[in-house]
Amino acid sequence: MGGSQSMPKITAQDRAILDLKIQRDKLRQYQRKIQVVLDREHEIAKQHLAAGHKDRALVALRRRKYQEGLLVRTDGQLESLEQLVSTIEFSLVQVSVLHGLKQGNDVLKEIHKELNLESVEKLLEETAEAREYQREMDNMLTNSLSLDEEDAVQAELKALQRETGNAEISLSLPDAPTSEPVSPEREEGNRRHEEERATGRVAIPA
Amino acid sequence: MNFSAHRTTTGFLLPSIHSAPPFYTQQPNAATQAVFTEHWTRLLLAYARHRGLFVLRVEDAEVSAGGEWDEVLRNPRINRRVKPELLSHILDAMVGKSLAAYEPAGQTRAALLHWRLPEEWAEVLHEWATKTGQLNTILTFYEISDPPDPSALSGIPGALLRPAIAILAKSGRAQLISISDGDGVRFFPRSAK
Amino acid sequence: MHRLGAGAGLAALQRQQESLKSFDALSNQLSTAQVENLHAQLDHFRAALTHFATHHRADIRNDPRFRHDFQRMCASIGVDPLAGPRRGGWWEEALGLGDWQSELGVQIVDVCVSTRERNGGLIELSELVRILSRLRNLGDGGKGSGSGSAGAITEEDVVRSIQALKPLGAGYEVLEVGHGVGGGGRKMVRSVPKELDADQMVVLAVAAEQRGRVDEESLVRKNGWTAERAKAALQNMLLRDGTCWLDEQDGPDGTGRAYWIPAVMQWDD
Repeated sequence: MGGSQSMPKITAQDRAILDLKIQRDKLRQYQRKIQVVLDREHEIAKQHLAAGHKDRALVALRRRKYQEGLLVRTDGQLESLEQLVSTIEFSLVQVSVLHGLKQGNDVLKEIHKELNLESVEKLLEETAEAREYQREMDNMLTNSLSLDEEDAVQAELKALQRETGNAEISLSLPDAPTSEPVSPEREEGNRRHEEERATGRVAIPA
Repeated sequence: MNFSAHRTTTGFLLPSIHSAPPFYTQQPNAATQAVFTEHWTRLLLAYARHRGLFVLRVEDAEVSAGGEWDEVLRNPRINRRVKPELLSHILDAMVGKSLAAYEPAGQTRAALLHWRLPEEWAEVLHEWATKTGQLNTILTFYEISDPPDPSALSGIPGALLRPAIAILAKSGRAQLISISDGDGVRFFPRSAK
Repeated sequence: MHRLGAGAGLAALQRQQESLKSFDALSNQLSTAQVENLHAQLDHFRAALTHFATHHRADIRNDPRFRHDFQRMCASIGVDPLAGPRRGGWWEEALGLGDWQSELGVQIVDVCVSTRERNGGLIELSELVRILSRLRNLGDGGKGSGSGSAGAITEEDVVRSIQALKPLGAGYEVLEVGHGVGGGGRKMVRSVPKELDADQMVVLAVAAEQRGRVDEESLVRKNGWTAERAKAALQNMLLRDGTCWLDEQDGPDGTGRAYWIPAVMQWDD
């Protein structure tokens, strides 16, 4: 909700994380440098060997071994640093998840506060009272009117219903037929009549 | 045989003027040299973009071959190459047009090439951070220029990164964090306010 | 085959205008009947020629050979059917051929200007025709006259157009380079108002035979020049006119000095 208006403040924690990451990067760069040295020493040893300088090749290989030792040691350091960084980053995510959960919880509580039983009952009660009041009003009005007045009101109601279309004018409509509608004899007669007309038309030109 | 374009092994298309022998000599006629310099400028920037190269050094034109600029600075098909003096002249013209900047300042042997504007770098940077899910986390410059998965920003020097971050900071999309040992940056989603 | 058509056409047109003017003056004095008679004759002549031209308009526009014959025919009776609209009057309106000529003129200027930075304002006529043809076949983006394909053009069309450009004072000129040496010389178009002296014409001719490359030694050897004369001609072109380029990595050891004349180099783009 809300959201930070401007950028978040840089906290001591932020700086600590950055520092950690920079140290990690330095280690990585250092490793890369050593790797280059390793490759070069290997190349030098090969060249010496090809030239027949076995002892010099050995020296190069020894140097290489030493560098390799360094690399292995930094490997361990780098691993723990990287673990630390990812643990911290994960914790930060957890913190923000927790924060999110807490906020969600608060919102839920707010909603529940609005939704307690008492206020629901009261609301229902209020609705019932209002309906009662309405009925009383109706009764009072009907009883206090004369018969003529009541007739006039009924007539007005009819007129209004006609206007709005959903009138009960169906009353004036005839009832639906219930008996069998078709007489086969009449059908027959009709057809004959048609035939006559058709032949008549042909007959005229003759 | 005509003077024609040529495609290099890295897939870059060299223009036909690259196959003309005098293109590699500094011209005594100023108007002619201006035209050549313009061709070279366009060519160098296009190639830098093609290969993702950020720095051009005068020593890239020195005798020993094997550098990443060889395809452009040399033309073995006609046995010509750009000499350091000519490259120096071209670099100077590029810096004069703000298409490059000497880096570090105070020398004229190496320059950063501006084949993208700082504003364009800013967009590339923010897009990368968003796409790789690195918003709201603190990143070192090294993490940006040397990511485990090569990106459009691989190898980008801090001198290009800094102005791009400054542009993002203005719209609340990035925050520079400095400590004694180096710099870091934190990116934020687009909808800041 | 160099037609006197172009020059004769222009001159003839002017002559025709002169005579039209005197017709005006004369008509005031002539009786109405005579004038009507004259007009009738002229109308008849126009109608016949217009009919012919409109009938064969597509051929005139698109077929260089037909265009050539038509122009010869017109030149023989003293009119220039393809001259620009400012001079031609009813001709161009009737035939729409003035558009064709001015369009070509604009394209020539366009090509000369856009290639000037690399050739110093000198271009070989065949190269110009090649670029123009490509331009006309590629980009018929409906500019100018709405008529579809522009059709093929010849060197002769370009020469005509350049002569038509002359009154504009643009200084465009067609030069013949290296004539005398084995008969056929090269035609070059110069689009900058600089005169080429005789020595520079020779340099152009020598360079044209070597893909554009020329050096002092070959000028001395081929023309019997002194080294000073060769040097002076090349230096003028290099420094004063910008019509040639210097190459200091010439020769097997890469330290020789040679000159390149972009106007006679064949570019693939």
